[in-house]
Amino acid sequence: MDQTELLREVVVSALSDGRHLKVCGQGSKRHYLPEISAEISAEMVSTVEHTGIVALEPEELVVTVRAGTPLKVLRQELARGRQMLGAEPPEFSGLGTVGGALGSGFSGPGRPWRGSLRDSVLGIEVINGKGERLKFGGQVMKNVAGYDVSRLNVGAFANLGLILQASLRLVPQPDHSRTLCYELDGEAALRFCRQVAQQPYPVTATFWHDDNLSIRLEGAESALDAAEARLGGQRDATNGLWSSIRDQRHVAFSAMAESGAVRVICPPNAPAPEGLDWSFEWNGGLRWIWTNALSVNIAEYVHRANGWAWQLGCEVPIESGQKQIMRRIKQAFDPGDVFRSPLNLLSNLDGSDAD
Amino acid sequence: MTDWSFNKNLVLELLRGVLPQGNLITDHAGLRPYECDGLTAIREQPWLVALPETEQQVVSIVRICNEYGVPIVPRGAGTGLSGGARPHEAGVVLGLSKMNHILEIDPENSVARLEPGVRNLAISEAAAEFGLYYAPDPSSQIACSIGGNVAENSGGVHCLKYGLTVHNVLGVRVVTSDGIVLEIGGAWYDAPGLDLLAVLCGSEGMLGIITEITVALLPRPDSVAVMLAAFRNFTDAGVAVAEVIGRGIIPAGMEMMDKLAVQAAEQFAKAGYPEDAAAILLIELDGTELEVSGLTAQVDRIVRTAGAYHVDIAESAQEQLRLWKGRKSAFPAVGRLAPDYYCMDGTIPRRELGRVLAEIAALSETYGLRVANVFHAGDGNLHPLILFDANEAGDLEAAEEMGGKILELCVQVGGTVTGEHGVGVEKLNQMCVQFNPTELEQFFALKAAWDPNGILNPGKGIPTLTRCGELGGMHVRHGELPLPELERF
Repeated sequence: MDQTELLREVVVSALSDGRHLKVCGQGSKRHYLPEISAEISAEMVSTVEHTGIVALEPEELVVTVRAGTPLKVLRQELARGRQMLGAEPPEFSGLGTVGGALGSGFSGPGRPWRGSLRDSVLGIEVINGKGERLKFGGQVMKNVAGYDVSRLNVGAFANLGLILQASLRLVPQPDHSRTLCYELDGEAALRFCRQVAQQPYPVTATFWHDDNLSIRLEGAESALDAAEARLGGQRDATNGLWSSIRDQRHVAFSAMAESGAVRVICPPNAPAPEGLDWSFEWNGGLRWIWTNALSVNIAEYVHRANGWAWQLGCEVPIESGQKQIMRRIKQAFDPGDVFRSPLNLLSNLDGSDAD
Repeated sequence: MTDWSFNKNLVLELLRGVLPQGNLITDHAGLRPYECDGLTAIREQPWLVALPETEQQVVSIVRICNEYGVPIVPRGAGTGLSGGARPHEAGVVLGLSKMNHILEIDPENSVARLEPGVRNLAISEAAAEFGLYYAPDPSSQIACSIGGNVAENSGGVHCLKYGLTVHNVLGVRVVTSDGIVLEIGGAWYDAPGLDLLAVLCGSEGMLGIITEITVALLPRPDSVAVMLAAFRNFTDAGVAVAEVIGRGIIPAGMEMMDKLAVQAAEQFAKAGYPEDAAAILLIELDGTELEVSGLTAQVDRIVRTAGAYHVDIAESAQEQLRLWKGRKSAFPAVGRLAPDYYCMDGTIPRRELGRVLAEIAALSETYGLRVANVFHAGDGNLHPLILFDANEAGDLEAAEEMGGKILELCVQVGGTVTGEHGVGVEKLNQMCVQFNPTELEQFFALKAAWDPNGILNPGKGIPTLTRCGELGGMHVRHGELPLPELERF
């Protein structure tokens, strides 16, 4: 249902009354970020009623979809034409919406091979902090007219505006999928992934947990046979393995609910963390450390690994020079500071509010 | 900010203090090569050219220019086709060609770390010993630089499958207008906070100066096949493209040419193209050996069913080069058909191809100017080449006007005024068609967030609301392409 005008009115009236808004979908990613400070009264503006697939054109490899549409509904609709979003964005409890996925910018286990969710965005329609309805990008893949505001909005956690709808690039569903398993410790699993990555194998995901490495191969059956003959390993026929990793329902993630998690992004060849309970995706480019605190020990490891770490439920760490530019960009889109986001660009690095 | 008066003697002295002798060009003869980029119709002599060798020198230059209000026009290899590196008469051209070192090829993480002046093709050459390559391959890849590729978000014939520059860059070091160095991203995926990397890609040097780039490298595919399919009409060729993609096949490249382009290319390159074809498709498939042979058979069936009357599958690497040669020489070949041509660069949804070509044919009739069409069919990027003779009174203006109409048509059908050449100064007018004033204002606000004093590449990319820029075009005289040694396709 098209709620564009209604949503625009909400923003316009908040702006004129000096009220703050926080944009939300179903709240399926609430555990990732800190709650917006209770001292700041920000009203919830929900996009969940703004639903529907506006245009689906399988032969153009593009879908245009409203923000409130559940990812699951979109995925099922795309599957009818044997297509999908290459980034496999997490659906979490099955509630995740397109707007929430775009706002957070998270990608699933296939990210290094099929690109991120941001990569698939061709165009976007937003309401900025001035209540203006703006369109950037389009429905075509090659498009260099103007600054890439579409992709800038992905992962912005609604700092720059309320995403109304987006046009997303699709990829064909692979004809065949096969998972190979290997019993390897963390360091050996990382090494094996590196070797595999330097050859043109049809790999589309990797996951390591509890000394067990899973590698997903997808494509033509002949390509999978050829790869399996060279890679060896045991076939794993577990149903829904990769969607359970995507949605963080896999047993590895139970530690997340129990004790929390630190999400580490680093070069895949960074050493394995020692003496920590951990898992990895993306050939080691995404590592989960199952712990409730970003200890000195972990901070040192992340520094050595030349990556960055984010303790779930806490603020995203952003280097101060970049944060300054980001703050100015926010002000360019939302000069009246209407949108309050859990990705707080207004705070200083020490957590205090900026001027 | 339009007042560019500053104390030239003072600024010159300051710049001399930060650059080695010989890296600052101020004499008329020395400045001449910097008067234009690949858009040679529009020329301007800059005040001076600065050629830094280090990031620290870039920082110093930017700080001086920002303090005294001196415009900076960043320049890579100068191969761009939209005038993005057109100098500013009162400003500094900041040429990054001396920063041309490959800092690291890191096969373990499948990345390369590069200075901005590194040539596109040099990356793949350096990575070859590890069986890796850099995927985006703009037609000027032997000369164009990676810094320029980031500024323009360059594509290439393989971007249907492997994406544009933005999909293959993992990190940059960028000097902001106030001379601060930011390190965004790195040898890993997804940096925290707003996606600054995405907005820097394709920003045409208007937001910051890129001093280092980390790109992703891919393993070379085991096997590649190239095939040609000839059709008696354009519609059938369009159906074939839709069918291939509709069946879930993503070719590495898929190119289409119309009759005039085919004839010109064949006479020029002797690639074995059937000259009686109304349209040809050139399709490249890659993957494992078995996969490619399976795909080739499948695509062969699809194109024949769609109406191809002739299919030529290259049997050897040499044959593949022959088939590609015709397509890659299409621009110079068309250049022999008339004294001048204009190269347009719109993108359209593929389903609109028939309608757009029919309207281009009608415009061709109305203006009395012939048009040859080459088309990156997989991704909808259309390059109509408008033939004209600048010695005929009114021909140039007619070609420009017709070109503008074609781009407006691209916007009307849901496409864009520039697929891969950038806006620069060339397409400022058409930007007014694609974006409304509110959207343009938002672009300006974003620009001001990065560059409050407006010193970086002023007047490019985004038209002011009151003035919609000069027109230009890739204007080719007597078949003499700008930078004729480069392939253009």
